[in-house]
Amino acid sequence: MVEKKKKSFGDIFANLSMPILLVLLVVIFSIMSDKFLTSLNITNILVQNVHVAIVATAVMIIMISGGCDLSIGYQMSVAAVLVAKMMSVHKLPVIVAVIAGIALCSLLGTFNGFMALKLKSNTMIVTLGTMAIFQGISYLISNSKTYHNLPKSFMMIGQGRIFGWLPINVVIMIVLVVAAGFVMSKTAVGRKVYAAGDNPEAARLAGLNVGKIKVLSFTVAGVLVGIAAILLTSRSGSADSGTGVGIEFTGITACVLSGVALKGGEGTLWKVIVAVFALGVLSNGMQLIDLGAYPQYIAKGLIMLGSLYITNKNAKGM
Amino acid sequence: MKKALSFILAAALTASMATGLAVTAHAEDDTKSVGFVTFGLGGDFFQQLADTFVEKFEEEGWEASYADGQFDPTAQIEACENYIAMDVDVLVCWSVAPEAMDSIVEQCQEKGIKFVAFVAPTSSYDAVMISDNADLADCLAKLAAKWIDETFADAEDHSVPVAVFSCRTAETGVVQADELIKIEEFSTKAKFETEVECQDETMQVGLEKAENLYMSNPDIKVFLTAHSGLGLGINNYFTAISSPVTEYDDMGIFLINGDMTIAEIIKSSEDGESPLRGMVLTGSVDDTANDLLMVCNGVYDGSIEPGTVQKAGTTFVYADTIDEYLETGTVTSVTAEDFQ
Repeated sequence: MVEKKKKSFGDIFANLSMPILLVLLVVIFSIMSDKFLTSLNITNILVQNVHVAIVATAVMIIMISGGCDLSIGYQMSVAAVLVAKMMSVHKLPVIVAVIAGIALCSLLGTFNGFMALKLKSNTMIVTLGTMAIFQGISYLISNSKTYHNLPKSFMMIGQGRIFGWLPINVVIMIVLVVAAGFVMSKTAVGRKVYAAGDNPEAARLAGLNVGKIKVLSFTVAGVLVGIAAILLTSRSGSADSGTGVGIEFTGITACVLSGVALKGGEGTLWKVIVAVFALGVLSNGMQLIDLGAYPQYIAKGLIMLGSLYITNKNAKGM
Repeated sequence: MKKALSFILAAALTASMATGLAVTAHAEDDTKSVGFVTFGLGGDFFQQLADTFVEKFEEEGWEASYADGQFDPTAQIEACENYIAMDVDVLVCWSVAPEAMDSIVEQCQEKGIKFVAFVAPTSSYDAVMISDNADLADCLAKLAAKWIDETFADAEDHSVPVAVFSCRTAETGVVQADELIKIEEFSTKAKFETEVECQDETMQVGLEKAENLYMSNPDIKVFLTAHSGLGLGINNYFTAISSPVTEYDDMGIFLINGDMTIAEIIKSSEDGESPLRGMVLTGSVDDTANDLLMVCNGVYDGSIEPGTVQKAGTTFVYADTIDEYLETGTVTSVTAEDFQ
């Protein structure tokens, strides 16, 4: 009885380790800086992590299906420079550029999934290869140039406010995350993705087309990455081939911290989003308390290792 | 699938054999050849420099090409080794880590290839074309100081708050940040307020750090950075639709080695559309490529003594010179001596 109680506590603790970390960080930074818990700074934290949250959602979908995508950063880069170039150089309408960017990313995602399926290789290795391809495409499109002077209507997506205070990109993120969370947890489609990732052979025997599910997971993730690229470009007001590069690691970090299994089949979106904002608060707060860059690296690493330890220890039942 | 893979492999092998034959053929003719291993290609400035380098050398009858150094010493060493294998006559390298290039310099010496170090001097070389990183940062501080002292002429001494955005992950960044934080030595009005250390030098990081800095220190008027990506990010924050600042008359951003996009933004600052007011460059792209051509010609024909040091010029791009820069790609009307 006592042991059961302990286990339950452990489960709860494991489940809530990320929210606990987030609350702790908020409390600590609020004490250390009077600028931290202000509406402007909270808006900053939200806005700064909009694209990260959407990318983490994409990463989570791929990981739950049993894959991993290291090329996401360069998918974003390709979409960002394409969209920016279409608008600033070719003067194409915003809607055309936005649709082209999202469509391109969904194609790139599908390509990743298709290649992983056909080559029957680990998706991490396959996307390592496609990452190099996308890097080349991005530089071919941009010719290493930075594209600026984007239309105001486009910038409104990433910089505009509804009612003068509610950032449009935050609203877009919430809608996307809620929709993705609903599909993953409440629909048959979501359950199929979990099943395909958890035990592909069992899923296949149950009549699921595992290959198709995995490819479609990459496609949907591609759409999300495309949207994240649009949001990041419109917020930045410019784009170059470095836009978004490396973001996949933040996404993967948030997923791993929140308990998304690397082998697939496990993971909860709300925890991933909380982990994204815990990392965001950490980064924001450390600057506000004027911690140098190197101590920031150490603090970030230690906190991440600590939360991984708690999550794993409790997941194993203490 | 197997057939398709075999076809791709066969095509790749044929292509590499053809390349090999082309290299051999080149080695047999008398054309002078030069390879340029860049610092990296992530930015218009670096790409322009590499393209202009090839263009200028080819105009003079050289066979020229460049390889992407990827901001990575290992990638640079591999690129240098490839050029050595191609038996170029002159190898130019802008090293990320000059101390890692010793074996490359030795290999060049053994094979009779002239080695020209660019910007960052290696332990030995046939010629070096340097741009002193500290000097460049000093020039930026002087340019900013001129603007501060003119704009805030009525302010009390050392009362105009200045922030330095640094990225101390490489030696160049450390040296330049150390110079920029001495802004008070160059300006009677400037007050060094804070240094914002960034973990990398991208536009997104600049934007986020500026956003966070504004929370804790909204009174900062001047931002100095040795990194164009960070500078662009700071500018993007303040010119965003939802920016808390809409008037830029008393605000200035200054950076090093920006590209033509930065130049266009500097131009727009004249109309009050942006706080990005100036930059200094390691010489203009055209001038630098011409200087490199002169140095390479010299080491190739022996008219330059081994160990020659050629200093690269500094180009000042700001309100007074922006039109000249946008029209000609260089600035000759103002030099470092004007800022002494």
